Amino acid sequence: MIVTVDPPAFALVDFDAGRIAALAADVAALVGVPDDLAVGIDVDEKNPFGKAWALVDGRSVTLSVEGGAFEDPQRLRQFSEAGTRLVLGRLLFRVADRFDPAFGDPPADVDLTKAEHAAWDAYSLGRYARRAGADGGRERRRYAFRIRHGFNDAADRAFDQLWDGSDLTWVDLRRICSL
Amino acid sequence: MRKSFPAEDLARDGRFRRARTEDRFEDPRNEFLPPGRRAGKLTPDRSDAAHAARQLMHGIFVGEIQALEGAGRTVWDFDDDEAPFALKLDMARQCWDEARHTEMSVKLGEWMGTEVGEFAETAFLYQAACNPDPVLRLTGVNRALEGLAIDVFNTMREFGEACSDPVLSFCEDWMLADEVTHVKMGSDWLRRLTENDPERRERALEFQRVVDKLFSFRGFRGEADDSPIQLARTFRRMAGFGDTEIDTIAADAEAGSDPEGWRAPVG
Amino acid sequence: MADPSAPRSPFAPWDRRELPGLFTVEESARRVGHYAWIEMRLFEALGGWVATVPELDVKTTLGRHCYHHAWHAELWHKRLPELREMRPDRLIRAPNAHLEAFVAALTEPEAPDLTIEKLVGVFRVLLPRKIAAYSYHLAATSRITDAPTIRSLGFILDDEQTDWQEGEMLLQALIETDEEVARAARRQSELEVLITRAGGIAGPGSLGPSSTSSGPTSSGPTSQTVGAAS
Ligand SMILES: [Fe+2]
Ligand SMILES: [Fe+2]
Repeated sequence: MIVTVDPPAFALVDFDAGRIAALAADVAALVGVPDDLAVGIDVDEKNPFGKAWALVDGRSVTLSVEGGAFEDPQRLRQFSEAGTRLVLGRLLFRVADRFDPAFGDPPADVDLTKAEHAAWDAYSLGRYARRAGADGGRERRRYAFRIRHGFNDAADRAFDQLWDGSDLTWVDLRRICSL
Repeated sequence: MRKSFPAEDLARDGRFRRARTEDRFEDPRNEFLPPGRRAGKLTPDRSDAAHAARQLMHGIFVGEIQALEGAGRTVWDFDDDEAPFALKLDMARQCWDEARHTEMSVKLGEWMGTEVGEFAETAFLYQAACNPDPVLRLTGVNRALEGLAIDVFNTMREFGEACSDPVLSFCEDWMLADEVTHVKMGSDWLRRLTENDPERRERALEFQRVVDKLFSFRGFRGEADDSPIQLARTFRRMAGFGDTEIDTIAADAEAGSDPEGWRAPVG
Repeated sequence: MADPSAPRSPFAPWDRRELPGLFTVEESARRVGHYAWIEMRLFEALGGWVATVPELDVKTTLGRHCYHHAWHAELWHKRLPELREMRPDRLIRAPNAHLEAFVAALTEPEAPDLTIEKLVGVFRVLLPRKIAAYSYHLAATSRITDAPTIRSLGFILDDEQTDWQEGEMLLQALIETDEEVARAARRQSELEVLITRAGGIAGPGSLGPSSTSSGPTSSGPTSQTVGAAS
């Protein structure tokens, strides 16, 4: 798999493009993203906020990342490997799902509701945490999920099913959340 | 134990990480944020709502610890002739209140999935509580900082209501009641201690304005739709702020969105 | 119901309070002034220490206890004019230089690794002394004439005992090694020496008649003679 990072050198934050590319290749292999994809990672180092999203176009994938998403929340402008792995794991699991015929055919990201995003993120991060043996931040993801699906027992049960789930389809995701 | 305790020495356990206030304000990324470029008002509509709310809640948590420490230092730092017993009594009461707020913030952090120390802490709030003049300290802390707390808690309470988060809105409503009391303390003591000293009152209000402006930088707090923290006019009135005074804070906040300005220290 | 016009004693049959007490108005006021002084020094120290302790549970506990002692000081401030002291500041002072030296030593530790020393001073030395002196006052003063002081002592002792227990539990949780046990014991012993020299929070006589005490003991009127309940 070819991974490219833009910019190749960072001026405002203490990030290293080579390290990001290596982490992305590592996470992609763990997740099981098809080998023949070209993955480009665009990091907006000027942006301290933390949004990140993926765009799939044929066999090429662009991950757009606001710099804050890779930043250590405890150390200003410093890189966080654990945080970066989580962001990449979440995005790349969703990418892998899109290339998996068994998953089904979800709408494009721009057409997803916030509730659908939250559900798919929970399913992706749960799998990533298990596979990587990492702390996926289950409770903070539960909070994000509750904001979209309600602060009630039904929403919590749905979240647990997603987080603990494997081999789910897009239809399963929607059914679990009663969407 | 020394009188006057520097912010660098504030005691924390190993989970906390301190960021220098100057580094926050002088972050080179600030200049690339175009005018008016803000994260936006904290509502569930923001796609990063959960993260933003968690980060703000952690900022509140460390702010409560510093408010507790600041009130405690006011009790200790001044002799009886510098600060009357009744003032220290109010500050001791505030210690208890801020201790409760710290406890509530820890519980809220857990509720939101946040770990203690997950985000860096700046000591900016405590720094305002280091002024050697008790009147300036009281005004900077109990009118500017606690006034900001009113704005923040009201914003968080509304966020909790909009998300139907029963725990967040419940806790913020209680904290808001206490903060209104603290601002009232500040307003009362400013009036009492400077009754016959208009020059000192002016200096205190100027210090308050400086602190207020720092909190409003880049529209972090203001009345614009995209200000993350909204100015809570009704609760400020309850706490003894006049309309003209609130107008000034709003105007300074608006001017503070100037691209030359510093970013806010929290959130 | 009994005949409303029948005479009844102002003391219900179960009310066994009696008039005699060890303290005159002046003696009660003198002690209350010392109580106010030590409560003030204590709440100030607890407030100051909040910023110096890294342990979050200790930090919030100190913040809470700070207000308890400030409120005790307020109760004593308010009591003094009721005891005919119209310039309370005259009486709000240390009973002697030894107690001032004790407070100076008590409040000396600042470093973040001295939480044990800070807490031992408060919870293993000062609070037991306060509880003892307040309990003595409660037992010694007239339950009828000095009832307002007694009411305040009740509230305050309730706080002191709860706070003492909380502080002791914090200490037991913090002290883990032989060296820490030794540190705590050393600190306690150093401060005990100083407060013993002071004679307690109200000076010599904190737990007994003081040199200035002149209250009636056995020669005063008793409840029997002034109309106790039958
Ligand atoms: Fe507070
Ligand atoms: Fe406050």
